[in-house]
Amino acid sequence: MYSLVRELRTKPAPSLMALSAAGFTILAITSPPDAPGFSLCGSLSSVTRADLHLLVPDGRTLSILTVAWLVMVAAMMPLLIVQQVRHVMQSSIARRSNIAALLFLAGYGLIWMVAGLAMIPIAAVIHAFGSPSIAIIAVAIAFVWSASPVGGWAHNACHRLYSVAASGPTANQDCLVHGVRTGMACTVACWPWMIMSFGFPVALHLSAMATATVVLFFERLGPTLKPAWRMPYVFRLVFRGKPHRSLGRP
Amino acid sequence: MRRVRHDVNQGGTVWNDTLIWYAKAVERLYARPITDRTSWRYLAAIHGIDQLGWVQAGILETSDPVPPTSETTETWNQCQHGTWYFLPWHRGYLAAFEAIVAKAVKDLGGPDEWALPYWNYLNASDPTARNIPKAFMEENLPDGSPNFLAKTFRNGEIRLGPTLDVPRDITLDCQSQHRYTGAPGTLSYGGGETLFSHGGNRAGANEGNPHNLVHVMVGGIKPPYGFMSDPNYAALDPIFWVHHSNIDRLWAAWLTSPKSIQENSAAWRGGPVGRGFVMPDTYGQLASFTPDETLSGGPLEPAYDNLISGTGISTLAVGAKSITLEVAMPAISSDSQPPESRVLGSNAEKIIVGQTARLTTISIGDLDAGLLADLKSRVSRPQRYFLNLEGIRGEAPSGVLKVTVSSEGGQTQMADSVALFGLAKASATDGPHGGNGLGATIDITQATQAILAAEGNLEKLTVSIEQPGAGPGSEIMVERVSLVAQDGE
Repeated sequence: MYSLVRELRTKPAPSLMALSAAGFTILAITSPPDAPGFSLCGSLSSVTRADLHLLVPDGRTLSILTVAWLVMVAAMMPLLIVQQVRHVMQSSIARRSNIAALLFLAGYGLIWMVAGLAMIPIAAVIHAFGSPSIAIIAVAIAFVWSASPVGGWAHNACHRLYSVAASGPTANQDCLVHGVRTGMACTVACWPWMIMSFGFPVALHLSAMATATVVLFFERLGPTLKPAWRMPYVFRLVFRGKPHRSLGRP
Repeated sequence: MRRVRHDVNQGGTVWNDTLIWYAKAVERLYARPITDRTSWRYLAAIHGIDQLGWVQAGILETSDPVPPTSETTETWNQCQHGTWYFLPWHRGYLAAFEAIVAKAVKDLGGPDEWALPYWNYLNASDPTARNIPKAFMEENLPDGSPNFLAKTFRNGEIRLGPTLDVPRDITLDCQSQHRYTGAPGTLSYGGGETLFSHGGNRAGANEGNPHNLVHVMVGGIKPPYGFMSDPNYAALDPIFWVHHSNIDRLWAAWLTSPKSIQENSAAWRGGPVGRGFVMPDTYGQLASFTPDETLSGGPLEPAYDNLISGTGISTLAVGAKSITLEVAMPAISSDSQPPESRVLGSNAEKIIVGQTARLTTISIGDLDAGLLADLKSRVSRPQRYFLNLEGIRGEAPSGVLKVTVSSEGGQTQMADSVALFGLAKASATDGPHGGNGLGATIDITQATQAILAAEGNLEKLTVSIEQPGAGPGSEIMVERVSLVAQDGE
């Protein structure tokens, strides 16, 4: 546990935690019914099954949803990319380290925004049909996905660290591309977790998202393993029979 | 009862009681099924296993039952490399192994006090020290029964030392590193800070040389590779254990130096978060341990008969009562961070290295005024320079890269040759390394000073990398080469 605390106190984890906290704060203070503008939950709160056919063609709604999706990504994802952001910062010369981090985040965020084009409508549908059984199914799908070989493959890809030039003309591109590649892996690994909260009643969206963020954080701590059907790491962490005996002690 | 480990070459004879009982115990452990946690194969799999490869090599039968995945994901493929946990993890691994073998020895009617011997290959006073001990090559024991110390596969040298393929000698240079923990991109004794690391790129000096070099010298770097060249097979070779016993002894000796600064942070002492360190005890029950339990006074602290011979530690610290490690370690325990390091520059392209040397140029992108003045005036600040080879990937289980550096128009300086133990395993994207490849850090402070002394210019550094022993199709990719500086202490 000490190593985790140290990890979270080491640069750039505090900044990424602050970003996540800012995202959650915006989501919390814009929760419906007050100001639904920057919360995807709020933006979708009035969507009913009858409205679904209007959702995509409505440009205004889409722009609101885009911002809301970005806030949601900013809240849930930063803690999953601590190692990658640290890697691009440490790989760069000192005066470029912040630029390297920003370029990585730009590439990473770009992929999530593209993914949002498909995921926001799915979230809207889940929300419109929301019920306890839909919520349970959405959570189950998320866990099954994390347990699947595809989820395992994506998890491994999320751990990949690509080389970036320390400076010079290729350095910017390297950081951006690293962000894109990590974003693609992360999208595949995490997509069901991002939308499962919409199966819950609006009042529980934020709690569900926070829970998903914690689950994903511990999932990401799991070691890379050959892809196979396997209990999600967070379950293994909680339910594993850790030896009670201490080696070398009677 | 405290077990005391002795030199494998006791009196220079081929066989001694320790080795005879070791061989008999290995036979006993080999007879146990892999589902038995005290079996030879289970213990080797804790270090690393490629199940398909083991079947193809005849180590396992497809029909052999194996332990449940829920267990093996916690216990197998656990070895720590390229990390500050390398030394404590292997110390705990040796302790578990020694206790299990000692119980087998006792069950066979042997002595209660059996202890794992060490291969003192850097003992300069023994001309045969570098030879693979003959007991590990003899077909039979003195009584004519099969010798299980030779039940392995090796395709390397029978004597450790530089060759055309591995143009680097094993040395005790690591023992002069004062700090256990290194900053990113620098070299230290025990490695850089990581989380659980089945294959990282923050290896310490001890892990690089002699540890990695001995592995590739014994196992070979050309097909068919010996077990010692591959982390997935290495612990199947009985010589693995006496090699690691000596690596551990070097650490024990290093800890007796008051100049040494041993890592003591809670993050190191408590071990990694999540997956921890788990070993079977003598009854086959799983037991956990943490790095702090391997230090002086801990239950996993080993004892050696000699911490001077072949360790580079000439005298014991004042206060040491004996040559065994029964006294508190005189090394300084510290949780202070090492001096910060900074990247000065890197190359801009991946290079594929075969037998022919490949050149790449590091552009120094972070020359502050002070450093630039130092470089141009050739005034050496107390600064250390490190060359980092990053994202090293290849298909061979192990490899060796020879690295030289030169400045524009300047003389070429030898940097080092690095052994890449576990190259293929680290390169597999679906394996426990995540495909990040290996890393190698070379201290080029002396080479840098030599370039400056010859009026060379460090603003562009040309790095030459070759694989002296490369065969067709065994190219190695190096994704990045960078230069890192660190203020001296």
